[in-house]
Order: sequence, then structure tokens, then C-alpha cells
Amino acid sequence: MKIKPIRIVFESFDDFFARARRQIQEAVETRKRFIQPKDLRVWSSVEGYQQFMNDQKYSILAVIYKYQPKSVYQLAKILNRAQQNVARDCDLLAGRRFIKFVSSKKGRKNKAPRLSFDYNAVEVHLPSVTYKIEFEKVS
Amino acid sequence: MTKAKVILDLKFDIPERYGVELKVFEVDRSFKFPEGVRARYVLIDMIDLIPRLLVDNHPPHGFHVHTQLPVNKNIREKLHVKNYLEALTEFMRLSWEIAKR
Repeated sequence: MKIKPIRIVFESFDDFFARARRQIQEAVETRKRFIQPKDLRVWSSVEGYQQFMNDQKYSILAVIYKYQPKSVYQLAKILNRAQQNVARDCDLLAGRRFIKFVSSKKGRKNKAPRLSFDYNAVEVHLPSVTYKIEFEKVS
Repeated sequence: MTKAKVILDLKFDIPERYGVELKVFEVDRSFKFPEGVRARYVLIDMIDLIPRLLVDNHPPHGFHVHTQLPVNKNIREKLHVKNYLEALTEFMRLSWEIAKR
């Protein structure tokens, strides 16, 4: 199975804005485009990312990938966690663009949680080492 | 008038609460956009999913900052900047003040 990861990289606040400044100038002067790839997330701190992305949130991503639950309720059932807590984690993951909510066209007005794009691993690029968390597929 | 074309789109996550989105469009040079650039820099509260700070240069205001989002979208403060780079510097300074609180 081909691994399609979502990549997490780290850049300080100052470095990000210095790069943004360079790229904006270059984009305007040369018409070169700088569009952040959809599989890339840039975080300002490793500690902040690790605090945010705990095991429970990784589990949510893995379960969404594996079971494609139709609702947060169903997702919470699979995870055996309280729906309210799972819903809150899902909102946080959606805010950080790891997942999105998709409305079903018919039936009840459930919003199905889905990965923000078709990825099956999270690849974290720390300054000294890179690690990858792969999701299991239903066999 | 040709359609605005995105020439820069960057996103940045600042734990534990904020995210930055920088978007720059190439537009026709005109009285409204003398540099041919439309810029939109926004600081988003990722927990409540609301914009907290927005710097943009849509007409007729030139570069300005919305400081009282999301409560009042119509409160604007003019930014005394010469171009999109100075506006970015000012946005960065204001964002840092909010993010470090």
C-alpha cells in the first residue's frame, strides 16, 4: 500500500514571517506562485504540536480512515469514548485542517467526519528526526 | 477586469489557539489597487473558529486592520503602511501581541 502522509514541519514565528515576506515579494515581482501544498502543515512549536496531537486524536484520525464513520456519534462508539469529548476533539482537528465534516445529501442531517484529504499516515518532521504514524486499513 | 489570481497562500499553526492565513492575489493595476496586489492576512482563533485579526486592502479603505473581530466587522483602523510588505510586518507584530497573551 502506498503511503500518503500528511507532513508536519516546524518553523519559528520569525522564520515563517521572514519566508512569507520573501515569497510574497517574489510572487509579486516574478509572478511565481507560492501555494502551500495541501499535505503540509507548518507549526510554530514542537511542544505545542505534541500537546495538541495526543494519542486520542491520532486514534480519531485512524478510525476515520479505517471505518469512515457516518457521524461523530458513530465515531465515539467505535472509540468507546464520550461523544461530547470526541466531538470537541473533532472540532479541534477540523480547525487545524486534519479533518473536515461532510454533510450527507439524504437522510438525517449528520455531518460525517472525514480526513481533510486522502492521507493514511502522519509524518512528523522534528528538527533532528522524522517519524511516521501509519493508519491501518480494513483487511 | 481579469479575475484575481492567487499567487501566495500560506498557513501557519500557532499552538495552542491560533492559526495564520496569508493570501495574496494578483489583480489588475488600478486606482483601487495601485500595486496590482490584493492581500489578506488573517489570524484565526482555531478553538472558537473565529477570525481575531484581519489585515486587508480592499477598496475604498486601502490597507486597514479589523481589530474587533468577530464582534464588529465594521470597525477598521487605517494602517499607515506603504505596501503589502509593510502591512505584513504590522500584521506580524499585532498577531504576536495577541498570540503571546
